[in-house]
Amino acid sequence: MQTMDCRNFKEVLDSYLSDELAVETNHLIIRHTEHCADCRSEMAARRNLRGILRSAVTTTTASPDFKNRLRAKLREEAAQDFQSNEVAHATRESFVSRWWAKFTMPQFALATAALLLAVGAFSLFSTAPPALAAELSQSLWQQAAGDHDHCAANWLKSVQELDAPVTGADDYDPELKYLSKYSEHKALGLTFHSAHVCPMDGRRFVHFVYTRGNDLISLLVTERDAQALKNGVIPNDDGVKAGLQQQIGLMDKYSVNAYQTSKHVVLLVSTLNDQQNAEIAEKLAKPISQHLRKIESK
Amino acid sequence: MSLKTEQQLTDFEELALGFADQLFRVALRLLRNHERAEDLVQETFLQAWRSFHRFETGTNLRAWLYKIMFNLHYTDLRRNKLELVQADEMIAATIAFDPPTPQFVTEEEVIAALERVPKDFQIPVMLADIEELSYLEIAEVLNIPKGTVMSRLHRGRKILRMELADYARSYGLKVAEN
Repeated sequence: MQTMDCRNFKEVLDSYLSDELAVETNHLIIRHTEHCADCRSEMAARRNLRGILRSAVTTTTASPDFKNRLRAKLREEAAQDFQSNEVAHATRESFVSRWWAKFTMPQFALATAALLLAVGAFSLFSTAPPALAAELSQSLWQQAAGDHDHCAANWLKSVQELDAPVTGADDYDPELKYLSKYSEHKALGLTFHSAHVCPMDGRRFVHFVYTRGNDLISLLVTERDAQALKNGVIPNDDGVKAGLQQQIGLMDKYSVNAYQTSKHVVLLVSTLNDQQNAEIAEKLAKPISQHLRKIESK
Repeated sequence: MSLKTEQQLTDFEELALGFADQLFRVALRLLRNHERAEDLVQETFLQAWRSFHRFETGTNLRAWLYKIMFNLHYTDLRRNKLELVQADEMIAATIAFDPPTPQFVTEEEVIAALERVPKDFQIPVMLADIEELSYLEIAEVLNIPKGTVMSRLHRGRKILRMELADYARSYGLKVAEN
């Protein structure tokens, strides 16, 4: 019967611990430890050393701040890819894709939010034919709830910055009147956390993340394309005003409210009860959809 | 140029970004500088995203990320005309005797000992014993033959144990002096 001496044992012991040996050699190792107390204790010591080495080194992690920057940088890069895709496909310019690049950088997030509201403020005096409130597709409702569940919930869990409110809101021109909208968020007891663009099941959402107490709230803006509508056809804009629509119990826990314009759908998703969700949708989603209507009518 | 989809971005974020901590740890050992380690990890992920369409599902994503990181690192070294610190094979080869591994060591002692292992040996030890890459994966990541990985691991682990035995001895001496 083949055996192994102590010198050999020590030579291959680490490879044994790394599971890099042939089965036969593993057997020789085990047989050797059965009758050699010194090697048994050497094996225990090396295994112990590896455990300590691992626990000592793995306490070093990349900072959450770095991870956020990394994600932002990646999305910035991806945005350029997506834009080139669109050029390559010679498709019409999408609202969301134009916003994509801007939303990927944190400093652009507020600027874009401001712009969204500001452009609306500039076009207050234009009269716009409001869009028809067509029935939204089930997949859009699901995607909105899914994005909230997937992005907002996970994102907040990962950054754990719930206590870090966004600052710098006052850096923007108060004449643009967006500040009143911002304070409206505050009046609703909402804390604003993030604005970015999310892909979800092939759809892109401009995604604003808020919290109120323990409730997480997502405001989503997306294109009103054929897939967003139940009958799969975008109706002609006949001037009928699009009101608040609601779906409840999505993914068994979310209420979703929506407003439509001729080109966009604005949705609000949260863990709030149906009435509260509708109330916040009136305060947040409605003015944004009104602004969008005015922009679109130009 | 390849066309990227949002689904790919989602996949990439889900699959790859989870390895940021591990890559950062190795980068930090490699560069000994927080900021430069972050830069290297960031560049690794951007590079990985650019060639994500070439990544084959089912193969080891983590090893692939490490490979990109080491490629970038070595390219950087060449660009900056810094000579790769050649591992002191002579010293390693002279370690003829192998003392028993100390039974009781602290995390601080282990880290201090690891710092003293020359980088060319330290990195394979880190990849095998901490990050748990297979020998073959390490060979691919570092672009060296598997046999070289094995000999570097062998020496690296031995140096680590020697350093620890030294600590244990000097501690023993201190105790004896007192």
